[in-house]
Amino acid sequence: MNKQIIINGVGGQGVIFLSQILSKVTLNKGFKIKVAETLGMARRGGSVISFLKIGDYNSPMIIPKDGDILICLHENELDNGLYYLKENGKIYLNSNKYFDATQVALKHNNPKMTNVIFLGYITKDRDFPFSYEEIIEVLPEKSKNYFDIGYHESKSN
Amino acid sequence: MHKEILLGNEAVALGLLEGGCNVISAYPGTPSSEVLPYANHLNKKFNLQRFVEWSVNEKSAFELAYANAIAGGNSAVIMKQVGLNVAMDPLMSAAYIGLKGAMVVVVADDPGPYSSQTEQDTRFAAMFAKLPVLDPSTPQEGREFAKKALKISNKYEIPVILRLTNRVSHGKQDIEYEEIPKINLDIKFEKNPQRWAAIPRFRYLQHIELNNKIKKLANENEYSLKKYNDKNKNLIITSGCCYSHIIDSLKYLNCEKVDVLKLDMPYPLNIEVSDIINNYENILIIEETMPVIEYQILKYRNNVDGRLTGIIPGEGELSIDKIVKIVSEYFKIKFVQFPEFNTKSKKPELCPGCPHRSSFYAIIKAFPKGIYPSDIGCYTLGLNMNAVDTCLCMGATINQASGFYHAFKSQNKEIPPIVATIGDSTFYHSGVTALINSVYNKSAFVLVVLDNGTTAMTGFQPTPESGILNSGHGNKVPLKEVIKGCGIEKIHVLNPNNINEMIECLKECWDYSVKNEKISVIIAKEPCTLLKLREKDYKFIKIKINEDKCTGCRVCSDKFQCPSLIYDEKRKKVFIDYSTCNGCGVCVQVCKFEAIEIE
Repeated sequence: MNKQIIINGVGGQGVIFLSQILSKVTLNKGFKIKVAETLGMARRGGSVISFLKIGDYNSPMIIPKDGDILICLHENELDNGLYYLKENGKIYLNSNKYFDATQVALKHNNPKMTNVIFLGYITKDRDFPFSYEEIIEVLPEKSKNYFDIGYHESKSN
Repeated sequence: MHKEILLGNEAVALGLLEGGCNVISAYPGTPSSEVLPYANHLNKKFNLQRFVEWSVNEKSAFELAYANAIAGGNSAVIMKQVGLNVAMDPLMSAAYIGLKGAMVVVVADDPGPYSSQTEQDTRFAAMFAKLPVLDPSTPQEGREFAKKALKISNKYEIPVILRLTNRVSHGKQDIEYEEIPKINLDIKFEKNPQRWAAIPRFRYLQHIELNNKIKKLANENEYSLKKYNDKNKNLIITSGCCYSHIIDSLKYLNCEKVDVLKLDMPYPLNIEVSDIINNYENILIIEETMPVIEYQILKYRNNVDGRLTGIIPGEGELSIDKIVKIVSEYFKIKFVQFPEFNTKSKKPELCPGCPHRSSFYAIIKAFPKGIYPSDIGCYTLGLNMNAVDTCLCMGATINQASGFYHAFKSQNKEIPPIVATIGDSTFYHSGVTALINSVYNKSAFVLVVLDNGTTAMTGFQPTPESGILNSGHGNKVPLKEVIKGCGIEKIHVLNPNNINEMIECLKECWDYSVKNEKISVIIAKEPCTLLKLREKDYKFIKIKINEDKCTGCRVCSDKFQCPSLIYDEKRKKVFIDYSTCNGCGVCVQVCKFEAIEIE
């Protein structure tokens, strides 16, 4: 499998956490992986972007317009992510226009779980390369419930 | 067998322990900060009994590690590129004197820059110090080169630099490793003052010895040539992370007409390289951020292209998109141009609930026309609030405040209020000597130490005030006592989240300082919000906006600048973004219309 995934949003939304979870899943599936993450000063509320390159790659950076999948946690950051996505690439956008994980998280009184709820939602999509079982296995205990919430929310949509 | 996804920095830590380091020291700084914590983690996991220290600055970290190497131990010291400037003094000298065991100096560069003051190239510093430098291209290579560096260091009895860049340090890769074996080193100090305390006459001899070592090392320097086609007349010469970008770029461009020469050790260059390059007609040197290989190649051949001939930009990261463009243009390979990148990236800002915000707000309220020297840390983001006027290097704020004072005073000009800010960790790093200097030389200003009890920016490393060590508890070095010891007579400790109290205190301190020609210090003491949030009994204060009272004056959103208070252009009112609010409740004090209420 050669797949290039872009995850982006703003600092504090848990972009890095999602990147870590999907990296672990990839590792469990036995694929090679290269990852690039934004750390340091930019994490303090600034634009954050993470690249996952699964398969036969050397560099952790994605070439513009070459990525396969974009997971965007913040609508304002969409253009930053789209820059790296192929013309026919798959977009998962957390937004009140489609599926608003931020609102669902607020409804459950845990805004910090927005990322996990969104991951649950997109896992339901049949184009998403990771399964429910593969992800739930690597999630920390306290996140599992929220992953389920996102996963089941999508059923009703 | 363990298989994990490791950061480049973590892979380097693994390599250092596998290579047998018994002493590892560091001062945190992006992008180097994750090496030491992972070394500490592995040390505990495998019960290795190695010594792992957060030092107060890079110079201290270097000197400690170097002594261990003199005594036959295997040392590693870790820092960011500008940290090496701080440790340059012992490094230059250690190159001459050499060592007995082994020592690797891990330095992480930040081309971009993303989180640094400069884009300096540590390979250049290695050349300056006449020390060999290894430049890994992936996390796995970081691990291998860490071990290789220790071996070279031991063989030639000199420190070896392991240079990382942010894409290696903060890149991740799947890595397999076995249990790390225990070591038993023969530690002893063999007295030899002619070597360890050499006077200038002996330093001259040591310099000859160092030159000979570098010559020998050049002959053993390894390189690899990736040949795509025997008839190729095009060549790229590179080292480090650029290599990874180049290989992926050539694949993306479906290009097999360019070969790639990779130098594991970009300095000192092996003379054999000249034989290889003479087989090629078009040669491009791609390296970041300075022409280190290029300068050395010029000795053998002058018709090469690179940074010196203007093909490679003189500044900025050589990101993969830039490399695709450069390679395709230089070797005339067709490719579809990338679209313009004209989207705006969101600026970093102080977190919701950050106590520094309160301090800065008090400072601009107390002295709207003041001069605000500041320093390196999260609080540099006080820039957004117009509460930071300068940021030079670690610890500079204090001497800069002193310099501004003397500039005005020497010309009998009215002295504007000068309020310097510095973080607690930065103060211990290099603020202490600056404060002694300023007291001694009769300066007058207000110094605010933003004491959040940690090194927040780089991942919450402990400070000397906490006395917390990697191995448990050390000794506390209390901030107030240190400041008192520097000769400061007026010291106030307060919680900056009581904004009015802080404003009054600032005014009182400046009056005192001007009148008495003395420095006054406020310790603004309140833990980092991100740490407070981790506590079980954290009290979240839920606030709400009383829309009847909100006049849309924007003081809370634009002056106080909490990211959770957002002005709604349509409704002309402020609303609260509950998805980011950390419930500090400080904004209640900021609204003079009492529109922000506690729910």
